[in-house]
Amino acid sequence: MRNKILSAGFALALVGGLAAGCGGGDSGGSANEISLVMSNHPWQKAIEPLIPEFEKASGVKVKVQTFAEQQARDKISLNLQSRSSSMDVFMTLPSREGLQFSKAGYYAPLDDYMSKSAAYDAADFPAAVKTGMTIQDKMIAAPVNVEGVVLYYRTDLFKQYGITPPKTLDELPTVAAAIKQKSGGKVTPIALRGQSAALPFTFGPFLHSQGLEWTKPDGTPNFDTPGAADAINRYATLAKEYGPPGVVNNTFTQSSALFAAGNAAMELESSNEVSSINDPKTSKVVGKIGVLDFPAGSAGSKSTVLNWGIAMSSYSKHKDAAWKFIEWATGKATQLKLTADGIAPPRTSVAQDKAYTDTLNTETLKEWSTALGNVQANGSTEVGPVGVAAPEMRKVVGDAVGKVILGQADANAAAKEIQDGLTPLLAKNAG
Amino acid sequence: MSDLMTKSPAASGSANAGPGAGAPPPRRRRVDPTARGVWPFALPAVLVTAVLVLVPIAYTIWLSVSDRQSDGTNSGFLGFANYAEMFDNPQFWNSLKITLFLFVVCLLVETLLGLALGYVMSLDVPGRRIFQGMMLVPAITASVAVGLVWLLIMDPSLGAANQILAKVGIDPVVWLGDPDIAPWSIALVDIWQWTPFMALIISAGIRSLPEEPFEAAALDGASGWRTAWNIGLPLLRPVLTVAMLLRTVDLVRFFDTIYIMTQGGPVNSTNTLNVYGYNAGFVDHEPSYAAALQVALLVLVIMIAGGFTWFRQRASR
Amino acid sequence: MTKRLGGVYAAYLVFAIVFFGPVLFMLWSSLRNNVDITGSLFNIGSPLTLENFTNLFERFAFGRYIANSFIVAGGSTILGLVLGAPAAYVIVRRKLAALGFVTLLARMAPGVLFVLPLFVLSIRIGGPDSVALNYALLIVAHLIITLPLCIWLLVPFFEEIPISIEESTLIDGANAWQRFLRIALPLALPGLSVALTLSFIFSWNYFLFALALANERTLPLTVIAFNFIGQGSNDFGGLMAASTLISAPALLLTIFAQRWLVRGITGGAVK
Repeated sequence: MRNKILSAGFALALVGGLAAGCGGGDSGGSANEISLVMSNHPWQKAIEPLIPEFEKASGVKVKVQTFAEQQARDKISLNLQSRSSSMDVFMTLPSREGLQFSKAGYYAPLDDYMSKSAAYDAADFPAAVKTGMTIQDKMIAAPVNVEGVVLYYRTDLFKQYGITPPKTLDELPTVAAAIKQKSGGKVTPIALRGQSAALPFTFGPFLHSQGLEWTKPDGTPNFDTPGAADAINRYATLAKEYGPPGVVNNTFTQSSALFAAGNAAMELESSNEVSSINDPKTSKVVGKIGVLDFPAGSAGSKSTVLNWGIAMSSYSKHKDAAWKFIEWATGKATQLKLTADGIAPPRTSVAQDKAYTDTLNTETLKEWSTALGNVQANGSTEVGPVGVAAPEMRKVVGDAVGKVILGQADANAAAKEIQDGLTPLLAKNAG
Repeated sequence: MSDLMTKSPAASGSANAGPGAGAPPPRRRRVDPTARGVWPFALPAVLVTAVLVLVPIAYTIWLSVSDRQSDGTNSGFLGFANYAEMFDNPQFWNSLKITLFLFVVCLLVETLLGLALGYVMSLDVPGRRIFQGMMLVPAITASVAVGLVWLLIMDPSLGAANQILAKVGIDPVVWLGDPDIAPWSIALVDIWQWTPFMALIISAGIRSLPEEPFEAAALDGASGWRTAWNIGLPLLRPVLTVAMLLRTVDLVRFFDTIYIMTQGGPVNSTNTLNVYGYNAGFVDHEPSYAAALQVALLVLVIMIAGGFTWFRQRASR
Repeated sequence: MTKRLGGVYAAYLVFAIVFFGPVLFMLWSSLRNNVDITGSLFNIGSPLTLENFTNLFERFAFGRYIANSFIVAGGSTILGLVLGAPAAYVIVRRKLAALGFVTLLARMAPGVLFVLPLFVLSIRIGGPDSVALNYALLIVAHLIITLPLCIWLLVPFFEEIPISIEESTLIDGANAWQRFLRIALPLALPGLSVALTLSFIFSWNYFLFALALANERTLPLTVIAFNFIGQGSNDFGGLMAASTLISAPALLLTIFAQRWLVRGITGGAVK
């Protein structure tokens, strides 16, 4: 009998819970407790062990949830779409979802908090970094790192083959061809992205370095200019002729695995990847890595610069505690500490701090730091076409370039496909 | 395991109704006295099912005909605009095509290969249990583990699959990196995971077959293949259809391994309806459009499963 | 005869390589160094290490994730049985195929469909903030997996019970509940074992609901497995070790409860 009563009681409780839930609001925990959702990332790995220090100093308890990037996005988007107050702070990529999230009202602007805090010194962030975190004149997130597209290469292989590292976009395919020929096809000349949603990050520099933008000043797509097809062609040729097999399914994971296993001579990837390819635990090529600026085009070397940020949810009920965390996590002292784990600091003062520059003690890290400096100075913050439908637009670009890589379309057809595909999606920005 | 052929009609009726779709069992002539007073036992399960299953379905249907925004506001009833948008969207038809492709290919191969493996497993030889145990593992391993392991195996440059092919002189295959190949690779993983499941059911079915028809056929001098085709297969049909029905329900909702391995790419070539619906909801933040896709998928599952059941009942009559 | 036996074992070998090979590959990779995993498959002599596993427990609260998986899978299985067994009994005794169909809607509906409604419910009742409530929510959500499965698995077992046995107790004046508890349930015990094993495994394996509903204290194993690959980290060894741990119940039950598993998988189709 007990079973029956128990189960019936349970069912009733469930129904009751539903009914009560429809009327009630959420409790959201205690005021000195915040919930943080992070994406699997070098910054996350570096900051997590430091959080107890913050808890001790501030008295704010931080509940941390970490997921792989895709799962983190699922979790964050669930919380935001349902106006949940159970997530206070989350990692965000303003260049990707900034407008989308901002338009939906997901971000609590940080301007007031930043200006009120004397110690925070928001002016310490370079203008480009701040622009990247600003949507419609509001600071929607605090920058936690700097990364950008750089070209890694194998110093030992280049020496062995007697090849000079490429300095320009025109040299890049020549160098790749030389590697292909001299290695007898055994070494993949260049590992780069092909997966559609991820591709714009490394494709963008091919546009920008030729002096092109994703969009025209009036907000329409810029893929009907002749240079666009040329950029598509350069990227696709590189991927098709000199990239690894199956490149259209590749992103940083596959590219870095390939490079770290010693199977690729160059890798076009984010500066972040240095933490995996330069780690003796996961890489066979430590000590043999050179880092170059993105090869220059007619407009110079214009890489893509990317900042991850941490944002405060506008549905948070503990905004003051959340700010305390953001203030600590992106403050000078913490960012300096994080450099010990290879997190490139977005703050100028930290980047110039001797305690940081002294840690760059190998050839690889020195070159890496120089390349990153150039990324920050000249890179474009537009990782893909900017808009409320940014994720969808990146897929449009990635799919079209992917078709050229696969030989299903030529560059002109792809440019037209992108132009046509982006037009309605960019139009959503106006509405 | 009772004999398949001597099973009472009532028992087989409702047993098959389990996974199937609502086959009304044949009415008994007299009222079963043990049936009196039992119905309240089902109440908790009914309530829980109602809350857990019907409420979310109803909620999703409501979402699909209203206009929920990504910020959680809903401006109310919209009619069938989301469905109209869905039918206008070539991606929907593409996803439907991919869903049906995976359904047909996987079901066909899993059934045929399952028959072969099931036959081998049904033979009484020493070591059968150990072999059966090994075959069990793919079917009960978490999709997360399956997807992640196959992702590593199918890596075009570093993966085990291409290394093995290279040993026997076959050019590397870009398993997941080519829109023409990726759907087949995804199908391959599913076939790997679920053929043993089919085979287990089939082998149990074979072992419960009556011996007399086979003995009679042997006396008539019929060949092994002929006997299997003419006598074995028809006898196995009820078991086969239940197994196929179970796979059908999962295959039309194909999601897990794709979510883990390709997220629908490359170039949308593995973007099944379920994955498409997920992306619409969680990546593009269009909850109402995503809901319309979910409802369409549910209808498709019910239609295919229902059609299957109808076909099975008609055939068994 | 020996020729035939040889043929069967040859088939065993081929099928074992195809269907068990990838599992062996996973187990082996979980014991190798990262640089060897991405190296040659034929480097059989590469050193073996337990480091991937020890790392899991050092870097993550892996013990807790395992415990959480047990709580959620165990809880939803027991609840599924408590609710499902009486329901299966009713379906058999009263021939309520329609009820069976409704519970099967849960199996037909795409899992993604449940995520948003469940999440909204969860935040409405404060699910993310309370550990106890969170476990309860996860267990109840996993009922979507276990309840239809339990009912479907138990129906054939109740059908095997001859009505005459129960009819004999009618004379003693036993009521329906007593008949169910004292006669039917004990006779369906093998069925309960079958349902217990399979429900546990399927609940353990499911990741989508936990991804949506769990908080930092209640996260189960399956959701964590994704965390080994990301920007700046390619920990294939950790990934394979985590996959091995996720598969552990399946592997162990294959060894110790094979009979129940086989009966469970085949039970509904073949009686």
